Amino acid sequence: MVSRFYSVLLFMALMLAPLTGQAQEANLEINTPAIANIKQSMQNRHTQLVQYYTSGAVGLTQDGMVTMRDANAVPLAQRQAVNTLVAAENQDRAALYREIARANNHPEWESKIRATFGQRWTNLARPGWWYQAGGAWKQK
Amino acid sequence: MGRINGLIRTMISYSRRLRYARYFNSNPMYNRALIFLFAVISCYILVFSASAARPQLRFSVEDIKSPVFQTKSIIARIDSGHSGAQELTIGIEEITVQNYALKDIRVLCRSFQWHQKEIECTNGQLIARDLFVSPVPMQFVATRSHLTIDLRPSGSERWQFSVQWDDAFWHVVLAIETGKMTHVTRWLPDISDHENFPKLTEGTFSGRIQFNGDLTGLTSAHIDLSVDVLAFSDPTGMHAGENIALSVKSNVMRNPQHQHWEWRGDVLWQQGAVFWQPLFFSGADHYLNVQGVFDGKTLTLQDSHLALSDIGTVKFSGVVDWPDGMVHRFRLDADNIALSALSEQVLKPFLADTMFAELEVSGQSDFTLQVRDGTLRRVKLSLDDVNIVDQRNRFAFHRINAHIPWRADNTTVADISFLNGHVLRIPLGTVRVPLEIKDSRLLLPQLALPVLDGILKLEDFSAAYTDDGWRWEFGGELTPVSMEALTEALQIQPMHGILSGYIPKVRYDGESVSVNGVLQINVFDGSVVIHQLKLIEPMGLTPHLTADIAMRNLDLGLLTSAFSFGKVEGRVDIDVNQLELANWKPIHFNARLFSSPGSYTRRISQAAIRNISALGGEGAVVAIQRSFLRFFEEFSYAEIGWRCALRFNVCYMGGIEPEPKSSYTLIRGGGIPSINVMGYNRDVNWQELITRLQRITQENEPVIQ
Amino acid sequence: MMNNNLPSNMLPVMMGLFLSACVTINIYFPAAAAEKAADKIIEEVWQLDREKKDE
Repeated sequence: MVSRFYSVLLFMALMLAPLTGQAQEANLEINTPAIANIKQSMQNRHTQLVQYYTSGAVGLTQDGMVTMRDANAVPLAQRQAVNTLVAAENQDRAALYREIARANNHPEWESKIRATFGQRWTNLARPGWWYQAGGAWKQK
Repeated sequence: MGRINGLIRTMISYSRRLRYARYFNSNPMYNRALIFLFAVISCYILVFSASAARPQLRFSVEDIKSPVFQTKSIIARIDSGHSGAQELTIGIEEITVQNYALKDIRVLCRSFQWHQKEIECTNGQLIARDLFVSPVPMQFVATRSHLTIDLRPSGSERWQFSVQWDDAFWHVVLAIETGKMTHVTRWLPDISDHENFPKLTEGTFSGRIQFNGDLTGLTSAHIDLSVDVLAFSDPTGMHAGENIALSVKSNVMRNPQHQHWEWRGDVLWQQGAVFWQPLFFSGADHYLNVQGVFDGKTLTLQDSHLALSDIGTVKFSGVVDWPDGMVHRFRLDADNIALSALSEQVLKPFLADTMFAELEVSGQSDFTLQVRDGTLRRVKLSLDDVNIVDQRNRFAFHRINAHIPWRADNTTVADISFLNGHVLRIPLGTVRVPLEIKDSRLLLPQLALPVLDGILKLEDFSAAYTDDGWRWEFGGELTPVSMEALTEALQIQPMHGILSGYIPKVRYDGESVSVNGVLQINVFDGSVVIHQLKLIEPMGLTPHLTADIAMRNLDLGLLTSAFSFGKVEGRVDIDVNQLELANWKPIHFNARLFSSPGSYTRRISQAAIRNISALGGEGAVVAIQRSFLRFFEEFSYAEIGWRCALRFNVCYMGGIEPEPKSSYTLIRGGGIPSINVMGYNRDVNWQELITRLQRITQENEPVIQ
Repeated sequence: MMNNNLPSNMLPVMMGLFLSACVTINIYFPAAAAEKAADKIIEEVWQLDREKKDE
């Protein structure tokens, strides 16, 4: 009788274990204060960055980052400022991917989340923006 | 016949010079002077020999080879023109100097005169497609001891090349008026051919370049040029300059007594902007002076300096072995450097993706550096009334004065002090640190750092710079800090009590700060013990904090009045395990609040009960408003209990009983009048709960007792 | 006897299943959910909703 009782418990655990996995698939947790903070910071920066995406000065990389693609599209005196914007954006993006992984209790997902984002930024990019694909620059 | 003799004489003198050229071939300085000389002499040969017959004369030289230049197929022709005037045509198939070849060069002279001692071409044209797109108007005058070539490619652009020589001396002068620099880019060193190297796109120069020599070779050179509207860029524009105006002066003199060269160069940066990723350099009146001696084996730099306007002056001197570049001796002194400009222009761009990205630095600094036999031997850094302020307000240090010496293989003691500052809003008082430095390790046996009204005593602080950045650790003790001061500094709910702690070890491993030990807080007449405190990326964008907290015997009366929650008398214990804060806000914990064991008054006010039920939302039902209970101001209780497990923004609540049921008891009544408070809402959105709590506590001003 | 033997035989099997279930959860990456989350964040950061309304 005792062993039967444990097997029932085990069976229940077996039933529940995939369920918790399923429960996580429905949604990824992205509503943490840290993520909200980073999102806000990126949203504010976007109003400055958007002109450089449009002009082609800044492009989206495959690994979910941004990079100075053609500095010649920016007047010399502003290049350093754009360079700093790009560095700050990348710092936020790295933090965002790390925080999403952490918020879902899977720090090891960071690289996969980054890869997913890399794809989605490109997919949702506005017409005219530049993105990297297979090492080459392409325009939406 | 006499002319032929003259020709032979000239040839002899040419071959003599050729020998010199071989002799001095190892030194490019000689070579360059001789290139000009040979060019001149070859013209001279051609012109004079051509005068041997008329009306038409043709003279050709197959090849001339010298260590510094080669020519292929030179043909000179003199024709009698229609009106009796003479025309000169010179064609050179190829001139090769070093690795550069000019092909198909032609000189046409429609107005050409030659006399006994002089040849003059007043209306000529130079066609050299490799240099100039269209034919360039030219003039030249040549005698037995002098040649002047005058080119006027366009508008105000003028290149005047003149050579004078006699049996003992020669002088070469190149005078340029608004000469386009693109004409000379092909003569720049090989690196300009590299795809990603910046290319000159625009620029003119005016001035003189002069070489003087004797039969033994070059004796002196003088350059005095002003460069205007210089612009360059690499293909990506990450290394580019625009609208640059410079003046360059340089003198090189041979000192025959000491068998060395004395040289000096002065560059005055008048205007312009350069972006050299990540640096941006602009402004006016920057000045570089370099001078010294070169003896063929060592290059000596003496009393040289670089003056950057806004930043300050850097003096330097040294000895470098030639040509292997080994730094035998080098010393750099920078006094009264303005740190605000230095950090803005030089340091900040390199810190863009670190926690110091938004640093504002002001004050002055002195800096000394010494290199001996290729290795850094000594560094000395002094800071004078320096302020360092993080624009994100994470930390600030004011009035820093420091004297930091460093010596290779030696222990030195730095003296560092600051007047005040703050880290993560917590104020720090005046501190003076005698820091021991050995190579890349810092040691500090003891330090008392005033924190608010207490003191953080550090013991055995050690820090080391490794390949992965800084690592540090210390042990210590925090003497009592009043919670009033701390909560005010942190801009959170005011609290009473004291914070103190004993910290066996605090360690930073490059990513997180972990506290090995316990922090003890005495607050609300009870105690709070913090274990396993860990700060992950404390200065990062999203700092995380993890800890386990055990609170014991808190006085509910003090607690509820501090948070103006409605009066509750009694004592509680609170355990918060696996607490994690992200950006200082909780994202995960297991919390349990329960009545402390022991005997004490257990009473709860009607206001507190209302608030508790309001916290539970609609689901937490206490129908006191409609019941007889509303006639009582206070109730007795036997036990209070509340549990909350925060997961993904949802607080899973429970009461006194550990077992989850559909309802749970928050307050179990006892005595008279007694009341039970039940909760039915098990899952509450954390944000919603906080909002409700804030609404309740903000209805009244907090009461501090 | 049969009743008692069956569960005890099943036990190691179930343990194995249980453990493997744990392992699959650990390495399982919810790609679809990640894309959805990414889109939500990107739309907010790039303010794509507002742009659509503006158009």
